[in-house]
Amino acid sequence: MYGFKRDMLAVLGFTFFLLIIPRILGNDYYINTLTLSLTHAIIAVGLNLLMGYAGQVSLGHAAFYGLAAYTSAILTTTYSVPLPLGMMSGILVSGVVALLIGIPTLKLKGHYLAMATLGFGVIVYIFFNETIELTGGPSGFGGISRLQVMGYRFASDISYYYLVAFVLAGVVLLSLNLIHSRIGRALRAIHTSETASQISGIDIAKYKVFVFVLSALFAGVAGVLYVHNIAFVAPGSFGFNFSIELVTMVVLGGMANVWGAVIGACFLSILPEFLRVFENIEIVLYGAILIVFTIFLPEGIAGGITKLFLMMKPKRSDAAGKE
Amino acid sequence: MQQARNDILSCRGLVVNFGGVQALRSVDFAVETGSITALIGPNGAGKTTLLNVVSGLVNADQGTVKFREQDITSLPPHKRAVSGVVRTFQNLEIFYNMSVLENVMTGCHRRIRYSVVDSLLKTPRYWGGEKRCYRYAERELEFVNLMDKKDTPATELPFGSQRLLELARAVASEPTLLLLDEPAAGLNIRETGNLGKLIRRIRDERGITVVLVEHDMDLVMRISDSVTVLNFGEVIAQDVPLEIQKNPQVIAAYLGEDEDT
Repeated sequence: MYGFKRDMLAVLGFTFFLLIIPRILGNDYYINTLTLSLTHAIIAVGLNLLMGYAGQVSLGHAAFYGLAAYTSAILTTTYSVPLPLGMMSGILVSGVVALLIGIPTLKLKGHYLAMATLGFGVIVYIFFNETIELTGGPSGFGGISRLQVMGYRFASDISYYYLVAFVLAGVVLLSLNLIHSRIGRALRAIHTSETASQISGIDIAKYKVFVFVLSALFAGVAGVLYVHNIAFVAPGSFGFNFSIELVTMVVLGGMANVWGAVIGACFLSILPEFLRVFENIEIVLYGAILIVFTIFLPEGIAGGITKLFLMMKPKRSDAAGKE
Repeated sequence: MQQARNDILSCRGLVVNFGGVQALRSVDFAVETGSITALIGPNGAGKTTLLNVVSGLVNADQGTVKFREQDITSLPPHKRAVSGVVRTFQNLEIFYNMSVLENVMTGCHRRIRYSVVDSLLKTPRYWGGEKRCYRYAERELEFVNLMDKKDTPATELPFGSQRLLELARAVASEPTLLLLDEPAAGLNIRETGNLGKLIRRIRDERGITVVLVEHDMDLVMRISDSVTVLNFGEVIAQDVPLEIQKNPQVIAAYLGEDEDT
C-alpha cells in the first residue's frame, strides 16, 4: 500500500548512492562540501514538511539550526557536559523554542508564522553576536570537540560524511513514512483548506504546531551534526540569509516532495563551488541560474524530473485511455 | 414544540450579528433524529449562517446549540466533527492537492487513531489503521459511484463529481448529523435526481440524520420530511413539505408582499 516498498527501495538506493560518491570523488575538500550539503538537506527535508506539505512558511529556520549548534557547543565545551547529552540538549532546545513560538502564532490564520519566525531569526542572530561571554560574539567560538559515539571518534572527514549520510537517509525515511499516513494527509489537507480539514475532524492548530516543532527538531539535528564536525561556530552561518536559502532549497527542489528538498539542498550547496571559477560574476550567475530554474521548472527540480518521466512514456497512458 | 420527538439537534435563541447586520435573530431550530430536514428561504435569510453556527465555523452571539442532549455551543469545529456533526459546502472545499481516494481517506481521519510514532515506524497499528481507512474510503467511493476515478487528481474531476466527492468525504467520517449546504447548486436535472436518491440512501442505509439547505424546491419537496423556512434571520414556518407549500407567510416571503412593492 502507498508504495512503501518503493519508498524503502528508493531510500536504500539513495543510501547506496551516497556511500559510493566519495569513492568517485576521493578529494577531502569535496567530501567536506558534500557533508555540508547533506547537513543542509536534513534541514530542508524538515522545512519541506512544514512548507511544502502543511503550507506554513518559516523564515527563521537558520535560527533553530544555530540554537542547537550553539547549545551543544557551549554545553560540551564551556561546561564540559558529555557529548551525547550536549547534543540531545541542543536538539531539544530547538524543539522547545519552536513549541513556544508555534503555540501562540499557529492558532492564527494567515502568514503570522512567517512574520514571527522572521523576527525570531533576527533576534537569535543578534543574541549570538551580542552575548560575547557566552557565544564568543561575532568572531565565533572554537575548540569544540569532534563527535564521539561510544568510544568511536569520527576523526576523518569520510567517517563523518558517512555518519551524516546515514542520518539523512533516516530523516528521509521517517518523513516519507509520516507523509504516507493519516498525519501526512492531515498536513496536506491543512495546506488546501483549513475549513474542510476542521470539518473532517482535524485539529489544525495541533498539527501545525506538531509539524513546526518536528521541522525545528530536524534543523536541530543538523545543527549539532554541523558543529561537531566543523568544531567552530560563528553567527554568520545562522543569519537571515541562510534562512532564505533554506526556503529557496525547498522551493527550487520541489515543494511537497521529500526528495525534492534533498535535491534542492544539494544543488544550492554545491552550485557555488562550481561557480567559484567565475570570481567576480559568481553571484550574478547564481542569481541567473535560480531565475531560469524557477521559470522553467515551476514545480521544482523534482517536479521537473517527474514530468520528464511521464513524458518519456506517453504511449502507455494513451493506450490506457483508449481502453 | 412537539414533546414526544427525539431531537438530535436543538438550537435555542441563536443570534448572530455581522457588524450591523443581524444574520440570525433568535432562531429556534430543531432536527428530529433520523429525519431529512430542509432549510429553505430567500437569499440572505441566514440559512448558511445557521449551518455555520451548528458546525462551529461561526460563533453565535447568543443562544445554545445542543447535539444529542449535549451543549456544543462552545466546541471548536473539529471537535464537533469528531462528535458527529459534519457538513459540506456550497462553494466546494475539496483537497485539490490530493487524489480522489486520498480526499475520502482524509475524511476517515477521526475513525483511525494510530499515533505519530506508529506512522513514523510503520507499526502493525499503522498498517491495520491504513487498511481499514482504505476500505472505508473505497466503500464510500463505491457509494457515490466514483470508484473508477479513485486515482484521479481531485482537480481533474468535473464539477458534478466533485460534489459527489465532497459528499463521500463527509459520509466517510461517519457522522450522525450531516449538514448539506446547497448540494444541488450547479448540478443538472439528472445529477440532481441522483443526488436526491443518494441523500435518501444516506439516511435510510446509514441512519444519518440530514439537514439540507437547498434552493431546488423539487428536490426539497421530494425528499424532506420536514421543512424549516427562514426569512431575514427568523424562522417563519416549520412543517411537512405539503403544508409549507400552502403556507401564506412562506409564499409572501418568496414572492414578496403586495404592500412592499
